[in-house]
Amino acid sequence: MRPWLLFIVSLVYFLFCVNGYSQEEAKFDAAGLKFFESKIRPLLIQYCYECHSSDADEYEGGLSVESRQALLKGGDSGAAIVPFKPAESWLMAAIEYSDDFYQMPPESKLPPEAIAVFKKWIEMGAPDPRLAVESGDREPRVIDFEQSRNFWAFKTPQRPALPRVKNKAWVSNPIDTFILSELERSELTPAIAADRRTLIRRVTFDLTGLPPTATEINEFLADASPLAYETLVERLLASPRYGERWGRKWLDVARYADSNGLDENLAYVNAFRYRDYVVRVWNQDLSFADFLQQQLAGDLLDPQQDASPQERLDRLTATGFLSIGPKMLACDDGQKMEMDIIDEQIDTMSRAFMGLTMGCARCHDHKFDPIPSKDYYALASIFKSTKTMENFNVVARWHEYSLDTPESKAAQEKHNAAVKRLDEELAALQKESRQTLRESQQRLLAKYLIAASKFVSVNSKPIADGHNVIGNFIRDGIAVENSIVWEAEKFQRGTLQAETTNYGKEVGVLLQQGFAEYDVELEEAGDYQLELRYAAVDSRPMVLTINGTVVDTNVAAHTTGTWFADSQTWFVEGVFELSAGKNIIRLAREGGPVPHVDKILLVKAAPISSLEDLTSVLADTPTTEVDGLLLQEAEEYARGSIGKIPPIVQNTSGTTTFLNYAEYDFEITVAGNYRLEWLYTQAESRGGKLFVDGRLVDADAANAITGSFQSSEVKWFVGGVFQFAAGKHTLRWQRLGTTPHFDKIALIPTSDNVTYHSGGDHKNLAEIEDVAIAQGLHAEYLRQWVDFLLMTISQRDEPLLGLLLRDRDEQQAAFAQLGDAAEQRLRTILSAGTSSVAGDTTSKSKDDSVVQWLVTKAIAVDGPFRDPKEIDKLVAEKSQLAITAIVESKAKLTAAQPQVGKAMGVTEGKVEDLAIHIRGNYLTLGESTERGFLEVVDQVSAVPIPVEASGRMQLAQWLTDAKHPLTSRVFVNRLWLWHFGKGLQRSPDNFGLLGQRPTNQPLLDWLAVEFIEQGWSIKQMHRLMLLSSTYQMSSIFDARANHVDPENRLWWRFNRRRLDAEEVRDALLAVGNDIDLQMYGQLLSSADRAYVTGTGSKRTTYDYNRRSVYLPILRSALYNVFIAFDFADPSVIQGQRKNTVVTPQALFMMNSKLVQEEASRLAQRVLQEDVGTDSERINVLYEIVYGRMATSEDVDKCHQFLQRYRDLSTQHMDDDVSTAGDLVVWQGLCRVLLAANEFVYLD
Amino acid sequence: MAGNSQCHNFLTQPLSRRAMLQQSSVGFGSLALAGLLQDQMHNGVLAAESGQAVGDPKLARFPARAKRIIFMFMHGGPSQVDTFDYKPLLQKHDGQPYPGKKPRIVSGATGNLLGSPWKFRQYGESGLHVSDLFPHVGQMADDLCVINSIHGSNSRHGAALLELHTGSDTFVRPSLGSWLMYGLGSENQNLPGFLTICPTLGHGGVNAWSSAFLPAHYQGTPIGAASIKAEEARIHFIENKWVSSKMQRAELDFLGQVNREHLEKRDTDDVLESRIASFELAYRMQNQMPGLQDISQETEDTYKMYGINEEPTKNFGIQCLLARRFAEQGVRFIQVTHSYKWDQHGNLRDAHTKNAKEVDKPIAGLLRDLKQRGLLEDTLVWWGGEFGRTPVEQGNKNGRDHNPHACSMFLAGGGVQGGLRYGSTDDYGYYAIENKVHFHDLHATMLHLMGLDHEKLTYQYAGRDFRLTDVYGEVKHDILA
Repeated sequence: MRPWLLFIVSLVYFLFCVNGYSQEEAKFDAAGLKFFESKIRPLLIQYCYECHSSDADEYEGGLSVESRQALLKGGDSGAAIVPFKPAESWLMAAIEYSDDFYQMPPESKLPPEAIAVFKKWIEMGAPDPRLAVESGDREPRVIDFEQSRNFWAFKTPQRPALPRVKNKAWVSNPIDTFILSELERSELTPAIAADRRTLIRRVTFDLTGLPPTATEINEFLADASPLAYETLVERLLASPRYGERWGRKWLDVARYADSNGLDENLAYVNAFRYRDYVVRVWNQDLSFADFLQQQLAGDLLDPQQDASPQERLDRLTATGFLSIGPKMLACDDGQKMEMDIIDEQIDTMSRAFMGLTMGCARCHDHKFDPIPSKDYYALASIFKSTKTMENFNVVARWHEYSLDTPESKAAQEKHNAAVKRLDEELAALQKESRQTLRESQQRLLAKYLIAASKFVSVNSKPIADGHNVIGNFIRDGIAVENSIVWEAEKFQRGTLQAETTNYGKEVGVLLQQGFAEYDVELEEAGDYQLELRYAAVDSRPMVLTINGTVVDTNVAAHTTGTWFADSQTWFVEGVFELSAGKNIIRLAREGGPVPHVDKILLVKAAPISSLEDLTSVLADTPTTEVDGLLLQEAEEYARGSIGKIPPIVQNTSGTTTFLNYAEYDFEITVAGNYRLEWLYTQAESRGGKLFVDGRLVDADAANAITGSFQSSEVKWFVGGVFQFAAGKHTLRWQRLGTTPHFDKIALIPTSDNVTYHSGGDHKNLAEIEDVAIAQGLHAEYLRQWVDFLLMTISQRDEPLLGLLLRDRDEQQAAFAQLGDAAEQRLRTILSAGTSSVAGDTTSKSKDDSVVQWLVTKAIAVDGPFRDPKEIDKLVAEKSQLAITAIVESKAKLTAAQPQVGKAMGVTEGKVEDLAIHIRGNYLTLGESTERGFLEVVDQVSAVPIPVEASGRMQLAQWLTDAKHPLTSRVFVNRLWLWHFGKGLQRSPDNFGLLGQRPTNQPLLDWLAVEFIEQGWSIKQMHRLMLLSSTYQMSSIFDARANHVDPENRLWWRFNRRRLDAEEVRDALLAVGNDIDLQMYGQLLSSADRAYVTGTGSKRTTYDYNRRSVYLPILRSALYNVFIAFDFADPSVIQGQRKNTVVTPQALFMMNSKLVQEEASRLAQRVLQEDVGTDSERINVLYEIVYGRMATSEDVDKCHQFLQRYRDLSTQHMDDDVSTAGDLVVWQGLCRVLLAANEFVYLD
Repeated sequence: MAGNSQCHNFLTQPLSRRAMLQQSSVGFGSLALAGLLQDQMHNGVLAAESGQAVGDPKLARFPARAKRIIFMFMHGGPSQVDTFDYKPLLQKHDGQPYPGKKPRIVSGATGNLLGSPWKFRQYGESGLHVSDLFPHVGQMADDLCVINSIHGSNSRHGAALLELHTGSDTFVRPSLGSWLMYGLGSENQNLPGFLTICPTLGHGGVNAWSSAFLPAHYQGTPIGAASIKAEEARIHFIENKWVSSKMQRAELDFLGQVNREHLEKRDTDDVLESRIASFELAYRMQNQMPGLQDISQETEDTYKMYGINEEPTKNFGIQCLLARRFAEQGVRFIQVTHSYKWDQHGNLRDAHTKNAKEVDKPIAGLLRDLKQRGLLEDTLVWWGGEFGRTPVEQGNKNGRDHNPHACSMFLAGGGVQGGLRYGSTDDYGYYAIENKVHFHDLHATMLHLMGLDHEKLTYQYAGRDFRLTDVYGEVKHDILA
């Protein structure tokens, strides 16, 4: 409810409903008043007056508690009390702490008795004798706009007349007149002109951020024309390097960065397009008015005026200005996030273009500048009506434009067509070759059936019934019989989301957080191994509950690399006891999403048969002389949950809640029998379950007692003898609870008989392959046949089951008969070239129906003759070659796929006018506003904002109106400060009352007017400033001038300056001949919206030799070289960089790899020079590094250094002082000259 | 909250250019030209160069109780009801619905009350309750000032972490350490005055130790990062890998000569002079840091005390020991970080046990060591995370959600009362309700202990005075010794 509404409601209620009281004439009985005096007044004084009475500096929240009337009127949120209705009274909500926002008193909740007293008092109708007079209602400050408009910065600049000066000869253009006039008034004279070497170094760095080359210097020195300097300036302004240097200056104002910074740091991978746009348009000398309009409203500019489709895209890209700011992307309070983003936009826009700080007005009228909250929310409404974000979720998503053009679309279509052609060719070729292959194999049906049947046996009843069993399962090539597998997304009950489309073909997975429950009917109680197949990038452990008991809190906790089908992997989760009949298996995760679980498998885990128990048999220490010994430290398990404390594997959880296990992968190269031995110690028997290749072979393994847990007591024990085929095998040991202290595990080749065997129904891949080769079959198809037969077992009503249940010999005979018959029929069908399985309609015998069924399966696309995964490797060689050729062409084509770019930017949103947020809080709304601009700027007649428009276009027009008092002044001041080191007004982002007054307002105004009249041309302003005598002064010191004007506010000399962060780096690369001048593009190797810092992310590299402007700018993780050299932190707006001298800069110069590398390259460069003497080399070095010749003193001291350093380096190094030694010595000299002040300071 | 609106007093005299430039030599927050008086170094140095007036931090100073702060930051949110906020009723009503109102803004869904899996014991003369997660810290109970009523404003890691370090959960602002450097400077001219050991780069990263709009030399200097072992952590560019130290010395001697001759041709320029000095300072720091980080000479007993000789305490133990060594050298603000582990939405029992085990002994070791060396008197030790956790469950009754409404931290030494339990939460530890201490109040109190008035320690930027506590904050005099 709006406060005023609440107020009226309470008033109406009060006047008409309650015992006929009127507010003015409230009369209370003596008891009520006594209650107030004895109970309420002391509480109010003790707890509330500090902030809500005239004792306070101001009434907090606008609320006074000094009279009944004041309480009824209330504060920002409306009436504090509603008499007789404590439940509707804000006061009660606040003191009961039942609301997040107001909790009063803020330090401590009142004692319960006091809360009860207030409640009773309100129930009594809030009797209160205090008169309204007691509370002095102070009037809020009212902004006097008329008076404010007299402030210099709010008056439209007028072109002042040129002042008179004495030394006319010094004046090159009007700038000098203004400067000289001030100097002459202070009886100062301008410094002498800088010499030509100084000047070319100064202006080259200034306009391009790079040092002049020796050739450039010599050309300039040789140019005797009076226009030599002008020619130089023109050359530099036309250089593409200019846009890189000056565009970057604007990027400081635009707080450009490649990540959102702040909390969750996500890559703004497409922000670079805004940066490239800025570099490009600065090079093109786009008028500043157009530049401004494009940045605020490029998307709204009339498309008719676009010169080209590219220009249209540039205009969309330009709006990135509003989008690339720092943002909190993770905030549970989405409304706050939105208002914070709007606030950042207002702040940036108003300071960048108007030099006004608006932030204060978010909470209250600006205390100094004439900016009421009303104006703030008028602007905020414009940005609220603009769409910057797609959503405000945790983590929020910003809007991006697609940069499609008709050309890029055409290229895309052309590409797609080419790809489609290849796909069609490929498909045709594959269809034909596959069909040939398939038919050739189908003709071998009988052989396949018989060979496969040998891998399949039925030795017990299927373990499950009634569930949506999808078949027995072949995992990693190993058939797991007596198992049930089901799809995880087909749960009986649950809150998890079943996702079947996005994570891989035919892979349905679980998503989000919550639980899933599965009902599994089992015929037999017992131990069952549970396995899960899932994909996960992060570890997302789930809680496993079986029949109501939590059995493990850490299942499915592995990571597999991706969220997708390509990394779906099976993991054994443990062995659990299940009962006969219905079991409920529950997987759950709270507080975060689940891994992408695809399938669940249960397999009966029982020892098949035990021939001999050897587990407590002591063994000799295995010796490495045994060929084929496989020895492993116990703690080096492949997977496991047993605490790793070398050299002993020991359980550290000390609890029986968890399953402790370790899995070891062994690569067996020679098939045969192996004896498992392990080294362990334990004072009590802690035998566990031993699995070999997923099959339980011993339920009480490693159970021998050594008498101690001391590591000195470890002994070797035999664990059993197993037969292994060549290939990978897995041993797994597990126990629910604490474990023996394992030390080592060994597999030793042996001729002993196996002690455990796996029942003969456990075949591995290699055997299938062997059989296939022997029979002239393809292993891939044979495996599918095994798979097919296993499935028929689980689907018990299938016709083959009867055969499979027969005795082995009988079975083989029956299969042979069946196979022959089916093969015969199939061949007929294939020869007829029809896929119909009409069959013999006359014969209805049972056998015939089985034949019919088998043929149907053999022809079915998902039957045992379905196309294997790698079918293209099985088809005829000729076809294989053709297929490979097409696949390769397609890969080439795909690599050259035209990229469709995206750009960050804003667009129109839902138009909405905001009410003032009292104290910046969206929960306390005040007066409503309408989209609009600043009231104080009344000389610009604002274009009305159409009902359906956000108003950004009109805002941009308003800002670029020639009468706007701030836009041109603020911008020319920036240009001045970027050239001269200081502005004509020295707080470039604050032209308000708290900002500085200009040191030379006539000049500032003259420039501001001139700027507009020159069509807002930035390059035109450069020419004016650079060609002035003021710019060409030397930086020479003058004691008298320094005494009069120590801060050089009058510009009596040129300000010496340090190179900025980018210049330092670029100059190092330049003198090392190592700079890559390629323009544009993104160097951040990150996916859009990917995390760029924090644990687990790839580190961003800055190891490029591209110009600094193109390096990634990551908020919260800025390149440390940039940090050291006062780069503008893009998280705080900085119109003027700081300029410090700090030790990290010295450390960088002394010790960094970059300086070392460039010093080395520079040294090589100098050593390779075709000059004879060291003196000449020193000269070359000075010319490269400082742009001047070395003096004889320079040469002498360098000589001395080289000599001394050579001695030290010889001591230091073992090898002789040869060319390598020369390099070391010259590197030392180069490093010193690069670290010296002369390199990093410009006169 | 008291009305101490900030937007009034704005202009102080800008410092003279000469004074500014003299001080521009300082780096790493403190390194000054040799011979400069300490008092001269603390003002905003280059602000005048950017044409802005600055506040005068000297106006904010008064006699201090503590000279330095060691902040042991538990990245994430340690659960207050499982550590230092004993709630018998929570145990009693385990599994029942929370009877109060859950917050309007939450970060995730939660269930019923979850009793703490850990027992609480009383320790020392004071009888402070500490859970069995912190048996070693418990031994130091009589030195601890446990505050149970801390609260912040934001329920997400990034924002809460920034608010804890800078007072703002919305914008980039100078961190507490930077404000201290601005207000007090450093005691050691050869070392950074604000060090953060193995800090996290996530959740705001560098913003947690940045100086934001304060001059750059007030920013913290990171030693390594969270992903780097404490024993391998180094300051950027502190080592020269290319030449022998004699050769480097020769280079610097020559550099000095080249620079002086350059300067002679240019008359007076303080900046150029400062830069000459900065190389000598850098060289001294480069020489001093390896020795300070070399803990091999510490005794066996010290190793044991910090748990450096064993896992899992080794890494955090080394961080804590380094903190003591830097404290001895007069470093003003030292932060150690236990990397992002304290976030148990599930697996509370195991993970909180593991986390606590990694830090319990080192924390106690540091407190004991500081005490026996007499350093605890003027060192303020501060322990805490970015928020507390809910007393209600998540993660199948084995986890808790973020909770900015109640959080426990402790202070020790440096002018606070030991053996004190200050402030309290409701019966279940969901909300701070008595003697509430907002992050702003904590900041104000810590500045007070360091001898700074948080309302007067201001810096002008973007047209108004800023302070660490914005327009909030109240010194909690009740906890002062």
